[in-house]
Amino acid sequence: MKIKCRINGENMTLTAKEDARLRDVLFTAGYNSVRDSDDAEGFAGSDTIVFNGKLRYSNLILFYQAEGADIRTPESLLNGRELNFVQKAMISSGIVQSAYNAPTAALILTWLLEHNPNPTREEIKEVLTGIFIRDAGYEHYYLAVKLATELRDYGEYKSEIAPSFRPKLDIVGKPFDKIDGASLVSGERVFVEDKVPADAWCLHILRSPFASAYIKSIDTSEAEKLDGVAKIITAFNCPDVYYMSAGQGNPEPSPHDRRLFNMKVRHVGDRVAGIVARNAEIAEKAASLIKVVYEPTGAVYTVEEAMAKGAPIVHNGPVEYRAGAPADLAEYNKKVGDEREGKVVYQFPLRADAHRNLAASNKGEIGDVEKAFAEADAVVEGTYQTSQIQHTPLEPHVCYCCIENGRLIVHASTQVPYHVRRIVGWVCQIPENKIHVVKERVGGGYGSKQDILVEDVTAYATWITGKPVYYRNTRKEEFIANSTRHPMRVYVKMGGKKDGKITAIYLEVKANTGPYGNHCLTVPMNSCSKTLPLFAVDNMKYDLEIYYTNTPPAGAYQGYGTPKGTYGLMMVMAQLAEKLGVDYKTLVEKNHVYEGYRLDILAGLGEGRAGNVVPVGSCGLDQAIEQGAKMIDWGKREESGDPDWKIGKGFAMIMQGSGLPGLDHAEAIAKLETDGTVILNSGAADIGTGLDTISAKVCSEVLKLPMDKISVVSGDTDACAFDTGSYASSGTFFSGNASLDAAKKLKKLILEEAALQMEEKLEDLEVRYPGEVYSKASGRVLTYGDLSHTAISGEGRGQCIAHGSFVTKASSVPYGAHFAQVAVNIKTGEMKVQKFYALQDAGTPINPELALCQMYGAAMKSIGHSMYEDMVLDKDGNCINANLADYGTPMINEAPDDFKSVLIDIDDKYGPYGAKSISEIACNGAAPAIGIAIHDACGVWLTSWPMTPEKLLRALGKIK
Amino acid sequence: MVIHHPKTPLEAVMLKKEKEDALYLAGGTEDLRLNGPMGENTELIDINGLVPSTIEKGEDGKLKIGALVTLQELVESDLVPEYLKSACRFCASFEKRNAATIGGNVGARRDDSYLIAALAAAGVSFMSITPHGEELKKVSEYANSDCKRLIEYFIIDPATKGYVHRFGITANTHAAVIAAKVGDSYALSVKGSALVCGDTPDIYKKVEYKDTLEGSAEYKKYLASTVFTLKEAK
Repeated sequence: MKIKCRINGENMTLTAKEDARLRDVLFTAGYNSVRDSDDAEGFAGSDTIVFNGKLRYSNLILFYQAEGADIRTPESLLNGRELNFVQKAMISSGIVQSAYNAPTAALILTWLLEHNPNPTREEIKEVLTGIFIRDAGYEHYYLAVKLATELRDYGEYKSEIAPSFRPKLDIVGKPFDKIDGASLVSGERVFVEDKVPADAWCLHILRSPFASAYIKSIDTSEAEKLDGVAKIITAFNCPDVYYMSAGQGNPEPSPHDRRLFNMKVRHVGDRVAGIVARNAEIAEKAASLIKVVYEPTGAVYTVEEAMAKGAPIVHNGPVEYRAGAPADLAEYNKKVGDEREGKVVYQFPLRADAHRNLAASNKGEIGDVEKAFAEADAVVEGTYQTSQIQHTPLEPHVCYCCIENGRLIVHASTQVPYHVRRIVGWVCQIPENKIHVVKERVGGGYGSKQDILVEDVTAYATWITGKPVYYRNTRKEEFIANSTRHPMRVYVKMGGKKDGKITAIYLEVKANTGPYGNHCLTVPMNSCSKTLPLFAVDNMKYDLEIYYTNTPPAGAYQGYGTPKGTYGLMMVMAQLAEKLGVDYKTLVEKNHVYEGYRLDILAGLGEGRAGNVVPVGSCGLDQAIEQGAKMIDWGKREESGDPDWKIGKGFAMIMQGSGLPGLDHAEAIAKLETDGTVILNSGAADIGTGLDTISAKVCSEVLKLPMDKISVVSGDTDACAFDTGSYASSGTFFSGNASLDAAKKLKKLILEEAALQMEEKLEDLEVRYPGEVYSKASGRVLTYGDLSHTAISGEGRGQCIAHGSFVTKASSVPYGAHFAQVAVNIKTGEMKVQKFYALQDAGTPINPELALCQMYGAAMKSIGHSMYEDMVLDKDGNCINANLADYGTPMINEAPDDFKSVLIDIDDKYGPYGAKSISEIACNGAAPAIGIAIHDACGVWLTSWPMTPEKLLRALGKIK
Repeated sequence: MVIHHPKTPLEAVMLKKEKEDALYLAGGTEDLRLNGPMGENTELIDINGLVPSTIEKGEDGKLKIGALVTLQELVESDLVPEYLKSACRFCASFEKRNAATIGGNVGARRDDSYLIAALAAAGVSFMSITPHGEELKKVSEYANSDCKRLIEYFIIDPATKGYVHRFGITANTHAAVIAAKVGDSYALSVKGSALVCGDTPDIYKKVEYKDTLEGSAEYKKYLASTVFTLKEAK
């Protein structure tokens, strides 16, 4: 049918089916900023428009209902390419991060200010109740509105946006608009879905209804007869290539235990067949015609079930090793099961026993733990269980592939473009020079896009059919066929003396990696390697085991395993303080590491290899704890005025890493263009965090070149040089240092070229703003533009191009402390995080406003994980809450009333201009800080995620 | 998806009678959402424009609230009693409140309805269209029935005072328990169970509690037995 309506002030006639969703029609009509994050759940708000003057979800409006309607989309906010005042303020405040729904947020806030020029905090909160923000938290949205009103009223900002650092530097450490901010907030077509032509073919995945089953047969004959079906890929016709989905350095510390499609499905939602069809309708029809005969087998869902004697084995095929195979491997492999099990290929030993469901393990010790426990005045122990958590990026996993000039082009939303290329190459059995991976803007990753979950099958579908193929996960698939946070059981035993000195710590971690072993060692390992080195304790021991099960897969998640280890350790530490009669803060202060402390515990904590024993470098722990304690008035009992509501306080010390020293590698190429501007080709993958801005800022700082004269091209495997990717908090430290190295080398080339062109001594020359070489000897000036023009002239020596790289054995560790004040209703179990203060030593925050927002976002995620979020499986392994609302996704109403992020000013020796990582660490503090606050409020310890009212009532004895 | 566009309220009612599984489409936030009540072959009967969408105060002082009045319009109205505004805010999303209607919310008869407990405790009735003509119906009776009448407007005494309380994991998850006390009457919507109303706080005893995603039967029973003893109740 046809309708007439008015869109952004223009009379339009649109054609679509009567029952089409208005969102889909608008997107197809070119209003790309109206996006979809929830498959019409009416939750995430990426589809918000102004419909007849009201903010509405366009996914919940049918096409025919728009007849005669007046519609505004975020595109209406632009005047040509000029942003409106709200969009500008949003960028300045730092909230435009992964930004999948940033244009929508701009529309909402613009609508608010049109109706209410000076809204209160509550009024701002009210209009944001319908939009899900995962990356930046909500706190700086209030700042954005304030800045917008100032820009509107005064033509400039009056409020401080963020603190500045390093006064001697011009651009690093100062708030400066993110270089891709305008592109993102305006709704430019920068995401994968924006690159998909209308005639692209569709890939649909038929998924397993069983948690564990052999595939006896698949009959695709009827489906293949349908017009518009190009190919159906199954375990019977896919390449016999074993790999894994984790985007990690090669050789990976994860077993290769899957093919594109397997003869055995290992979780509900596992791949059974991939249908390449002309459109989704045909693909779904074809899927319904495929006849699969399954042979269900026993399944295990928990670590306890997986460990049990006689438990069903998730991978019971032969085990191989690329290196370091044990001598008894042939004997071991005599006990394999059905040939449809496939095989498990370890790149090197991970202390695994796949035939006991043990995917990997590790253990280590310093000192004499047993002796130290015996000498302790008090010993406390506790077991803590964490739940299965989904990343819920606003942009689901998507991929678009096509063939150009005989090469496979992969448009990906990924954190690891080079690992995508390698794994796609393995699967398609083609060399890397035949593959071009283009990392588009990433609408939220948080670790989930460190896994190659959709690129492998989409690329293969294109490679064998020659068709341009588009694949997009549904929201349900994001839950059941994606990666998730590993559920873990953490047991901690801690002993201490009455003087407040901890004598020994034992940490036992049992992790559930799900059906495949991607990240099976590295993520759980972080529960030890990024926690125990917080403690200046001579006797420590850890024991880590990771088990295969038949749950939805686990994988990387911001913070890796650290939040889980921190939860157990800090909760037990608080209990030890209570038992010893020592103030918890005092106990923390007496036992945390300090600059120069030798971290012997690291010896065994490498990623499947030997770890580096190093001393603690720059460390802002003391400052973070002291300042946080003052802010929250530590030690003061708060009263609610209602006897049912009790108030408590808690905090946790935290740490993370900055990449993986000795493993990570980053490169960048800086080119001086013919007019004196610079294009920096960075191998890094900016996933919304502002990594490209970091690269531009360090380049600007070194070359004394204005920011608008520097462009960054990143994550493009053709244009850029190798980078391991954005994970393990490596972006700023590794990729930033590679950009710094490239910039320094380009500066050297520029000065050498200038010396020749100016016929001056090199030592007399220096670079200065706004991009010129100045001679201290003669006072002469040569602009970069003139220099470059001459360099590439007929007699020139060539373009100035520098190749930078960065590897290191050094470790720059960010530290911090997170404080919480929680109100607890002892009658109903209701809980509210009233205050949350995140204080972190991030070294030099290169982008302070973006750093603060990442801290808000990560802390907010962690509050969600601790209190609300939980994937619930039924007895057959079906996730029964695979949507955003039922899963417990936190929104603005769950944000703390008083929420502050504070950057502790610490300079670091190794990071670019002293920078360390910022974001992952901010996931680590909420669970213990909140758990300790709950205990402080009402005297009970909640020992599992999520810490819900029902669990609290049980702990209080109100219900059984 | 088959969508019917009846010209009159009676035509809508007759269509509903004829097509048992068909749903009235009001604001669409329930019918059209992912995992909503729509089955593969569910038909929709669009009632927009067929029933009132205004709030009027009658000569008797009572409010006549059209079934198509949105929850946000109720929140913004100076006429609507506070407890009902609070109940509207249980629909936590501003965008949803701009679309969801009072008639739609009651008509969906969900066990975690934002409004039913409040309206039932207030003893609210609504005028409805049936195949036999207009009829008044109490919300409390309608909530536990499966009758197919079309809600036209609600009649509410704006002088009534009361409060509502919602228990849910987050503001946007489905509620485990919603309780309302208006005047001397009590009502409970318990997820997985039927609505109960009465004149004493021990109405919780009438509920048959079930385990659901939102909480165990025991948890919900405890909340239902406790909610009317909280400070706000006193």
